[in-house]
Amino acid sequence: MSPELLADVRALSPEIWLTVAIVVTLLADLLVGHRGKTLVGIAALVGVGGALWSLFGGEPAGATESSRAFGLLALDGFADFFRTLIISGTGVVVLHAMVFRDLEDSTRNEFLPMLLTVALGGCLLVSTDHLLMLLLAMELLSMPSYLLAGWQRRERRSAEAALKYLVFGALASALMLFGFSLLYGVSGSLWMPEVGAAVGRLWAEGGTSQGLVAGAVVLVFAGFGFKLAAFPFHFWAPDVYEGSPTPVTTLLAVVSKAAAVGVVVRFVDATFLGEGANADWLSRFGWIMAVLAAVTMTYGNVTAVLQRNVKRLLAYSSIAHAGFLLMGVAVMATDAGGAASAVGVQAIGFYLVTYYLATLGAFACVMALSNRFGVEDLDEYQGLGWSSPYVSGLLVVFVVSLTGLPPTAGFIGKYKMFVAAFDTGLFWLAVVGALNAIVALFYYFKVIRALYLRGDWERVEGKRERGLVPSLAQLSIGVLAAATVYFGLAFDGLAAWVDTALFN
Amino acid sequence: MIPLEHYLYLSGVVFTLGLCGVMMRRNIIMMLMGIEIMLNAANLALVAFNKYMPPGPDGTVPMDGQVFVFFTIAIAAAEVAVALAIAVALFRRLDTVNVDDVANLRW
Repeated sequence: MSPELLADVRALSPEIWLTVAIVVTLLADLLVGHRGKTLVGIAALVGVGGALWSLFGGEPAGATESSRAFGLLALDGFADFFRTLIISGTGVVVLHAMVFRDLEDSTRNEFLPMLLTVALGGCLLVSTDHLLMLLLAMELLSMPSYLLAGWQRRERRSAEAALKYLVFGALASALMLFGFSLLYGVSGSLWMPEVGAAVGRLWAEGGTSQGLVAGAVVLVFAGFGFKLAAFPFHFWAPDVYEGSPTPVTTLLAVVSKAAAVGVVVRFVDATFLGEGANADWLSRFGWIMAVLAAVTMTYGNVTAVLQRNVKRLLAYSSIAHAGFLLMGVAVMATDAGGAASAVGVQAIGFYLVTYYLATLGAFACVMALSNRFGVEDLDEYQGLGWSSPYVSGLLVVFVVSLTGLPPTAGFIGKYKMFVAAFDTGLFWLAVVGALNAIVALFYYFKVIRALYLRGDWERVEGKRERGLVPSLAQLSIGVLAAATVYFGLAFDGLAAWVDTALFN
Repeated sequence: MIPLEHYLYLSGVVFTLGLCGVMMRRNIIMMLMGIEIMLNAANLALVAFNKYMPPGPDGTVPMDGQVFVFFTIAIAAAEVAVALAIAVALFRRLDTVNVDDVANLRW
């Protein structure tokens, strides 16, 4: 093998770890059967751990120098940042899938390779700057998600979730593919910087080519918006989040969303902010993104107030957070190639980390409560704060962080996002965001009220779980909560890490 | 030779037909067929654009668009496999393939 090829392969070692883990878990299921579920779970965790190790501790290839592997993947610091979030998030989800009660043991082992495949697709998605690879990675991420959403085959809601996710997802990827074919037609290339140069040139020409470019970009963003659950492509999210098994909901809210944010930021950065960017196009694009961000967060927050099911409530909250993340994209688009794009990317990176910690933790708590008490509705949460103090107490921490109140990381994430919007002249957007944070306070408080302030303080008895894996799952909630509070107080280290990771 | 525009008009018409199929049909199998038609419209556009692409400085045309189509066909096949598996599971559970009968969770 030539040294260049070898370096390319080495830069892909996280993906190779994941692929090996997928194959091993599939084969292990054949060999040991469903009695060896802990063994198969540990194999999956080893794969995730190896992938993380190869990102941090292994060869520094790709981490320090920006390299393009196989002409399809840009394995730079940006990719490593998002790959870290995706892989570690998947690790937590694997741990929770191992203890989730409502999965049948006969199919639990096949569940894990599916989770790892989603992670593999996500890793490739955030690494690529080529439209062909983008489509392939998007499908690799999506298809196992459709199946995972319907994993509880006997549950009517789960089957329905799978169907809705599938129909909307397939439609979104068909729209995105048609957008790609138009972009390919106008630019003659599938590589994002060349596509971007053609977009800038054609927009300057005016006339019909403007319409063609705008149409193509709208179609592409339909695909992205679907994965991001942003308005007006969010319709699937509440139903799918509510109907899916809780570990899958976590995966969609954290891993899938992180991958979507990564691909949107890279697409905007490489295509619209690269060489040959057109200022007029960029300002219009930024304006549309700002409006979408405002509508998405307002819609998500206002609708969340009406919800009674906790998973559904968190689904609307995750739509609202997609709006906050789009705010960063609008900030990026205020200025071509200048400081604004860096400010926007930093704000998005930091916000995503805080969202990741709090959402992962919140869904883990929801799963722990449903494991023990079999409840998912807010009304049934009454008094659980006294019966299950550890999980409920930590759920409060995550909810406070999602609201964006100090002393949690969520506050710093929102603060940085608002400052970024102010600095780039998007005052109205920052104001809309602040108003939204107040609305969010209302429905997040409903969760806390249900846990502690309602009901007659009676202890509800539930099934207790003992054993190494359940305690590890409990421990993971504690670690996430500790990180949420720690990064809310000592955020400089995290901010520095985000900055160096993103721009390396 | 047929001009490029004609291919693109055809592709646009096919895409619209597929989109209408997804939007209007309530049978999940028919909706999936609509999506397949949309994918094929994109394939047609990709191949046509590649065919009419002016040659580069070295006198050759990269085959990106044509190659893309092979991947799309493979994706479409995989998607159908997943979709039919879900449709069968749904049919066994609910005895229907009509999406209106499935809607239990409110929108």
